[in-house]
Order: sequence, then structure tokens, then C-alpha cells
Amino acid sequence: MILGGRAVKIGDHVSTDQILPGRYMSLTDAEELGRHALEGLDPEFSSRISPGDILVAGVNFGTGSSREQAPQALRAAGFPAILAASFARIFFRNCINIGLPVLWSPQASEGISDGDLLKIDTTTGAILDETNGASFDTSPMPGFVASITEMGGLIPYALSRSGKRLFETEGERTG
Amino acid sequence: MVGVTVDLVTCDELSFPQVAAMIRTLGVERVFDGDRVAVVADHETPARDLVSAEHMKATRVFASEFEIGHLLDAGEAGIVHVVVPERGLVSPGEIMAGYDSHVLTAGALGAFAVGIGATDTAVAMAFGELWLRVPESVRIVVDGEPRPWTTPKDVGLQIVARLGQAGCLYQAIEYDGAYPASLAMDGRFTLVNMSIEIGAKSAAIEPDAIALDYLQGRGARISEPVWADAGASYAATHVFDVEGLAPMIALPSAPDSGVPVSEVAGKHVDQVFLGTCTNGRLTDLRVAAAVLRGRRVHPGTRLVIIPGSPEVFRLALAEGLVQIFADAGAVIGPPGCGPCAGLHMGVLAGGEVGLSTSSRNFPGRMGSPESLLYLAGPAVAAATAVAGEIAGPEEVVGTRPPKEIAVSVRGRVE
Ligand code: SF4
Repeated sequence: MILGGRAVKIGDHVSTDQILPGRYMSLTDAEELGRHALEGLDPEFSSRISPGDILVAGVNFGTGSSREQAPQALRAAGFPAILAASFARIFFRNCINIGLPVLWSPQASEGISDGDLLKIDTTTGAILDETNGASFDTSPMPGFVASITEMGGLIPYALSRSGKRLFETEGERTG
Repeated sequence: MVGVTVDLVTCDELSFPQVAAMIRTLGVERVFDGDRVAVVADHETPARDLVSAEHMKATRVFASEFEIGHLLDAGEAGIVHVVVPERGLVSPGEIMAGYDSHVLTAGALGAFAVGIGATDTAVAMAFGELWLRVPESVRIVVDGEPRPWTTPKDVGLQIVARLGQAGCLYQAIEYDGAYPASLAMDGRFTLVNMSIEIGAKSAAIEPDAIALDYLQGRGARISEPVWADAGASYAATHVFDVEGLAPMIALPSAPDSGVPVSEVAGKHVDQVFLGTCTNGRLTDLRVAAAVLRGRRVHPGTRLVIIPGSPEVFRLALAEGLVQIFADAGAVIGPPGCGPCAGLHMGVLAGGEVGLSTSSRNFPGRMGSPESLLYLAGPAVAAATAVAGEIAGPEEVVGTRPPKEIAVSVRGRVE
């Protein structure tokens, strides 16, 4: 999948509490969740972004509680993909499981400035910053993980397997 | 990335409604294997309000409809991380996953136990499968003989303080050395449980005779334990010499801020909480009883004691520990998480100072955002309750635990 969008940069160690403050955890309406995305970082955040923007975070993005509403809020806010220098573990899983593509690159997170125009190929992991001309390679999501994000998450993926083993692992031991 | 078949999937009652709704969308009629799925009431049990009562009611209906084999509620409720090993639901070498960060606790038996998200949990309960990013392994080697009152919790606080909150991010820890090997299971669970506070994905101790003895008579499926080959390579090895280590305390509001108790002795504490998946086991209660026997909780301080499981409660009752606690003036609650996550039975008011035997003390963790929380082991917790201010057991009782308690702080009869 090729995505084009404007970079919205945020800093290091942004926690799930900041991504979606605990008081909104009971919201079930996607649109409403999206309106509160990153409110814990900046109460005006939702007015700064438009659908299709690409979130560019620093290190340890999504640290803290394992609430799955945090990546849901980011997706509902209109981010088609998230790039970060590094991700906290359960948050990283949760993004993939809800079908939100994640790209892991300390170099890109460093080299991209707020507002730059980006072109991202979520299949190959290639990132181009059209504003400054820099390009970055990230390792593409291997095999079934790519299929999970492409299909929109683990639930649609699991439904599509209809009885077959969910995750084929041959030759995919990437460490 | 690899796909694995899970041997056990767990969830607590507070998170389960979210998972149950997803399982329904997966179109299955029952969970993949009822005997390998456990839903355990611990965060708000017995129901704390109408919302949790309705959730638990729906969970009981769901569990029977989807043939969940282990719905542990009411008299069977207890902290999932304490109850799962007690019931022999997981064995050395098995893969366990659950919707909570402290799931890694079962690694103390040599299982590979990881915390996962809600969708993961639903899919794992429905199909018994999970995808994993293979973690790097690191070794934490602990040797040396700490002071007589120093418990595994104190050793854990020292490790967390030195390595920091992201010290082992995404890594799988193996504990090694003479100290972990010298501990009974209760202490091993404590040490492994705290690994999440340094960011670990999983943590484990090589299963030995102590682990296998523990599982005897608990109905566990003991298979051939798998363990790292001698000479396996590690991304890092962290070495700790705990010789002479004194009891520790973590300051508000980070688990990695541990210092020797003497550095903050004398500070007033409004409430001491003894329990949790870190320190709610029989050995912890014995150590606290050794301090509390014949003493009273200070009039300016409250002591809340919550056993981790019904088994812990029954054994504590049979040994007379509950009598000691009641005589000392403690409040004793039913098994579960209690106020640990700021939800139930004994949360802190604004401006109050608490001391808890849990593993985390982020701002507002045990109640009001304006409360402060220290973390310590059971000996320091009990000594502080008696003194009404932060104190070590050496000051309150003497340099050695009394002999009649018949166990060392490591949980083994000497
Ligand atoms: S005792 Fe505390 S840390 Fe452990 S599972 Fe319960 S709430 Fe979580």
C-alpha cells in the first residue's frame, strides 16, 4: 500500500495515557475516540491534524497501559500509518492487531520534520521525505503480519483463515 | 515473527467484557480448549458496584456458553497471577499468554509467559494461536547473601533501581545465579513478577526440583521442560552481587527509584497495603506475621492485608497468621488485587501517603492523583505499620527474624 501524507511529529516516550486519557476508555464510537486522540499531549491536538496525516513519533511510543483504545483512537483520528523511532511492546502488537500499519525507524523519526510531505510504501517499508528529499528503508513486516495489517486487523484476518492454521511461520524466523 | 500454539490463555474479569465481545465476532461456538482458558475475578471482586456486578453476571453466562473451563469467581477468586500456578494450569516449558502486563509471573516456573492485547486474547481464546516477535534474551545473574530480613522483593527493587524502567525493553530475561536458585517458589514469583517494571517481555528461572515439587499434586501437565542450552548467547548479562543488601524502598512515584529503607526512615505513612501479585503469597504473610506478632498497628496508620488467593488465605488461617493480623489491628480483605490499581478496597485519598507491597507506584496508582506511594517488601511494610512511619524490621524487631516462624525470608524451612 502506498500512502502519501503530511508528517505530524511528536516526541519521545509518549504514553497510552497521553494517546487516549483513561477517562475516555469507555467510549465505543470511533469518531469520538478519534476526537480525543493525543489529547493528553496537547488538548488542541485534533484541530492540528487532518485525515491522511502520518504520525511520526520518537522512542518508546505507546508505553504504559495495554489499552487497545489507544491505537484505535489514532486510527479514528485519520492516521493511515504510524512511524516511530521505537515502539512499546504491547502497543506495537495492538496497532498491528487493529490493522494500523507501523514503521519502525530511528533514522526516519530523526530525519523527518513536522509538516514534511511523506510517501510511504507499507509493503516494502520504503519512506520518502518529499520535502527534503531524504529516503529511509525500514524492514517490511514479514509474511502474515503484513497480511494482518492489509486485511484490517487480526479479527478479519482470523475470519479469512476459515479453519486453517492462523500463522504460517516457515522461513520467517526473523529474530 | 513466529506463530505459536498457546498452552494457556488468561484474562481478568475487569478486561473480559471487551474480549468476550470480540470472541463473539469470530464466529466460534466455544473456546479452542476449555481446559486451557482461564478467566479470573481479581480486580473488582466481589463486585464493587453495579457496573462490575453486571459485567460479572454477563461473564458467567458467556463462560458457560463458550465452555470456558476455568471461570474463577466468588470463593475461587484470587489474583490471576497467583491462582494460575497454584492450580497447576501452567507448566515448565509451556507458552502462556494473557491480557495483563504481570502475566510474565508464571515464568518463575520456567514457562514462557507474556502479556498481550485484547484482540490477541480474543483470537488466542478462540483458536489457541498467537503471533510473537521473537525477543532477545538477556541474563540477570544474582549472587551473594543479603541481610537476614532482606526479601526477594528487596532484591527485585535493587535490580529495577539499577537497570531502570526501560532496562530490558522487549527482552526475555533469564534469572541465574545462586540467589534465585536458593528461593522457594513464592520468592521466585516475586522476583520474576517485577521484571515488567524494567520493560521485559518475559522472564524465567530454570525449572528445577523446587519448581517441580511445587507443581506436585496440583494437576499440572508436566512435560519435558525446555531450557536454554549451555553456552546460549545473550544480548547482555547483568550481574548483581546482593551480599549484605539491606531492605529497600522505592520512592514516589517510580518503581525504579529504590533506596535503602534507612534513607527515608521516619516519614509518616497513612496506610500500608500488604498483598498483590508481587507479595500476596504465604511466605509474604509469614514474614509480615513475624513482625506483627505481639505488636499493634500504630494508631495513626492503617494496615490493609489482602491474601493473593483462597489457598493463601486458607493456609494463613490454618497457621494462625490471620489471628496475628487481626490481633495487631489490621483490616483483612478477601483475595484479589485490592487497592493495587486504585480500584477497590482501600484506595488512598488526596494528600495521603501509602506504602504498598505491589510493584508499581506511578502517580495516582493506588487512588487519588494527589496521593503518594512507596513500594517495599512485606517485612518493611509490617514494620512501617507498627512504627506509623517508614521503618525497617531490624529497628522494630531486631536483626534476625524470630526463630519460631520456622521459615527464612526465602520461604524455605531452615
Ligand atoms: S495485584 Fe496489582 S499489579 Fe497485580 S494483577 Fe492485580 S492490579 Fe495488577
